[in-house]
Amino acid sequence: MTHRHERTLRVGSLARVEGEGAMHIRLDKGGRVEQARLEIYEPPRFFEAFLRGRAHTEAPDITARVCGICPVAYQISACRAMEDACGVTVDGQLAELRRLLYCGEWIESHALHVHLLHAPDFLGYASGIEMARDHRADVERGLEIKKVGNALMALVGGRAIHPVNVRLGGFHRVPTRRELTRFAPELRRALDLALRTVIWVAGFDFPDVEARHRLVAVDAGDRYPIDGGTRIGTDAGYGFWTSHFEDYVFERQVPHSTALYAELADGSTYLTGPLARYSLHSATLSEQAATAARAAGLGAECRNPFRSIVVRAVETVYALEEALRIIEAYEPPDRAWVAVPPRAGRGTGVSEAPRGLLYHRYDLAADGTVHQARIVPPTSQNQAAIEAELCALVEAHRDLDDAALTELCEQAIRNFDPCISCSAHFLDLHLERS
Amino acid sequence: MTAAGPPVVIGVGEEFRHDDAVGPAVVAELRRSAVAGTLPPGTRLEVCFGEPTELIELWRGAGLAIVVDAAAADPRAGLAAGDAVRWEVCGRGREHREHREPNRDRSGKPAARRDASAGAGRLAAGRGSGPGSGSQPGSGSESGSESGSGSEPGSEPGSESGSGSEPGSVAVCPGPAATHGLGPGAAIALAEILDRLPGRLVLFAVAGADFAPGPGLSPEVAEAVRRVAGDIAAELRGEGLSARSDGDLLSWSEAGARPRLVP
Repeated sequence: MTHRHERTLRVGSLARVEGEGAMHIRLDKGGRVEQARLEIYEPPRFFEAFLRGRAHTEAPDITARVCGICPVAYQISACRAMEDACGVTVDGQLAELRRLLYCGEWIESHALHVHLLHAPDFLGYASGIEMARDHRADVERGLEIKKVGNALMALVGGRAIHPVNVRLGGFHRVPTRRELTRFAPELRRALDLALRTVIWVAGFDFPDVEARHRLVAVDAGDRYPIDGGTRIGTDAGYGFWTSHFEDYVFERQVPHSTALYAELADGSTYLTGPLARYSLHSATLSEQAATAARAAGLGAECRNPFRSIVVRAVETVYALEEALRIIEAYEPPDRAWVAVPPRAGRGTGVSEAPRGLLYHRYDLAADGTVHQARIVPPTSQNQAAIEAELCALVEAHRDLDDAALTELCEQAIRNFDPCISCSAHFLDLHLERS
Repeated sequence: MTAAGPPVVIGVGEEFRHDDAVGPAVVAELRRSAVAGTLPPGTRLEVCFGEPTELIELWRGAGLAIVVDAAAADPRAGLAAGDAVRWEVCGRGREHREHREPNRDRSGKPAARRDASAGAGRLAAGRGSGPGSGSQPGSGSESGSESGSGSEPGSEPGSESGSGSEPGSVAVCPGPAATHGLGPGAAIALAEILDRLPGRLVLFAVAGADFAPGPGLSPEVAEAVRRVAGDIAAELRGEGLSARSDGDLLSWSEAGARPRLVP
C-alpha cells in the first residue's frame, strides 16, 4: 500500500505499560517521519523536592514510593548514595541480602512483563487476559514465577510492594538461615519454570531490527549488574565512576513530556536496561542462564529491542540462580545494619532496576539533612532512544496501514518496558507572576 | 473444582490517598471484631494495593472471598461519599447480584438498604492511579485530546465513560490498559479464565470524596467503615443481606458506561 498523504498515528493511552503515556507520530507525504513523540503526561512527582529538608535516613522509605513495581531499586540506589556521602561501605552478608532482595524484584517484574504485558504482542492478543484463554499454561507459569518473586521480597523486605525492612547500612531485621533455606525449594521450582519460559519466548517471531544507540549499564566487575557498583560502563569503550555520572549524562526538558530526556556528553542517545546489561555483561551470567541464552539463539550481544523479551527471560533465570547461590552461602551477620553517621558532603549511588540504570545523588548537611536530591530513572534515560526507534521503525514499515503501523509502534514502546510513573520528573519549576 | 477453603476478606487501597484507604480501614475494623471473637474461625484478613495477580493469589481456594475497595462518588447518580455498593459474583454461573447502601437518609440516620435496580445509579467514572502514581481519579490528560487511532487518556480502552449508564454494572477493564488501570475487574476476568475464582466472591465498593495524596479518611467515609465492616461480618457469619437484585456478570465488562472502582 502506498500512502500519498500526511499521516498521523496516535495512541492516546498506551496499554500494558507501567503508568500513563501516549504516542504521537506524524509522517509527511513522502512517508518520512516528521515527528515521533513518546508523551509522558503523568503529573510530575516532585520527589526530589520532597526529600529536601528530610533526614538522610528517610530517603530509602520516601523514594521507595516512587514506584510500586521497582521500589527496591529506589531503596538500594538511595542507600548506596547516602552511604557514599557518609563514607560507609556495606559489604559481606548485608550486601548479599540486598542483592537477594533485588533478585526478588527482578523476578516479579520480569515475570509480569514477559508473560502478561509483552508476550501478547507476539501472539496477537490485545491483553494478557485474552491470551490466557488460549495460552493458559504459559500465563499460569508466569504467575507462579511472579509469586515466588513477591514471596522473596516479602521474606527479605517485609512485604512485596514498598518493602519496609530496608534501612541505611542494611536492614531492620535479617532473616535466619532456616527462613531462607526453607524457601530454596520454591526458588528451584521457579527456576525450572523460568527455563521453560526462555524456550517459549525464543520461539516467537522477531522483526530483524538493530538499535544503534550507545549502551550503558552498571559495571559490577565479574558479577552481572543488579544491586549496583561504583563504575558505569558503555559499549563505546569507556566507563566512568558513578560519582562522575553528571559529567557524562545530561538531562533536558521537552514540552511534550513530564520526564526529562537524557543524553551522553557527546550528544548521543543511549539505552539502559536488559539489552545494555546483556550486551555488556553476558560473560558474567551464571551457567544455566548462559546455557539458556545460547539455546534461545542469543549471542554475546543483543541489540534487537524485540528480543528484549528473551533477555528478560534469561535474566529471570539468572536472578533465580543468584538467589539460590546467595541463600546457600548465607550466614546471618552479627548485626542487621552498620551505623551510617551523617556528615556534610555529596554521595552518589546506582543500581540496575529491571528497566535499567537508576541514579541517585544527595547533598547532605553535617547533621544529615538533605539539601539537594537528584534522581535519574531508567525510562527518562531511554526516552530519546525509544523515539528514535519509533522513527526508524515507521520509516521501515511505512507501507503498513495505520492500524498495523500503530500496533507495531505500541509494541516497540513495550519492548523497553517503560515505567512511566518513575520517569515523571521535572528538573525545576519556575513560576512567573505579573 | 469449587474452592471451599476458609473465608478471606481483602481490603484494597492505598493508605496515603485519603479515601482510597477505606478498604484497609474496613479490614482494620474487622481485625477488632476478630479479636472479639465475632468472626468465623479461620477467617483471613488481608490488605493489598489491588494488583490483579496479587488479588488472585489472596482469594485462591477460599470458599468465600469478600473484596472491599474504594469507588468514586457521583452526585449526579445520587451516590454520595460514604455510600456503599455490594455485588456478588459467582464464577461459573456468571451470577451477579447487587444492592446499594446509601450512607444516610435525610434525617441523618443510616438509611435502610435498597435494591440497586430501583436506585438506578452508578459510581462516577474516574481513572485512578496505582501505587506510585501522582494522578487523580477522574483526571484524564489534555495532552491526548487530539483525534486519531487508539483510545484517549483517562478512558478505558473499549469504553466511553460518562454515557449509557447501566445500574449495577462496574468497570472491570479486562482489555488492554496500562497497569495502573488494572484492578479487581481484571483480577476477576483473569481468575475466571484460570479457574482461580473463589467459591463465592462478594465485592463491596465504598464511594469516596477525596483521593488526593495524604493520610486520613473524609468524615463520611470514616463513618461508613464500621457499617460496612458490620455488613461483612454478617456476610461471613452467613446471615446474608436482605436486598439483592440479580444481574449478569457480563455487564461488568461490556457496559458502555460503568461505575469504576478506584484502582
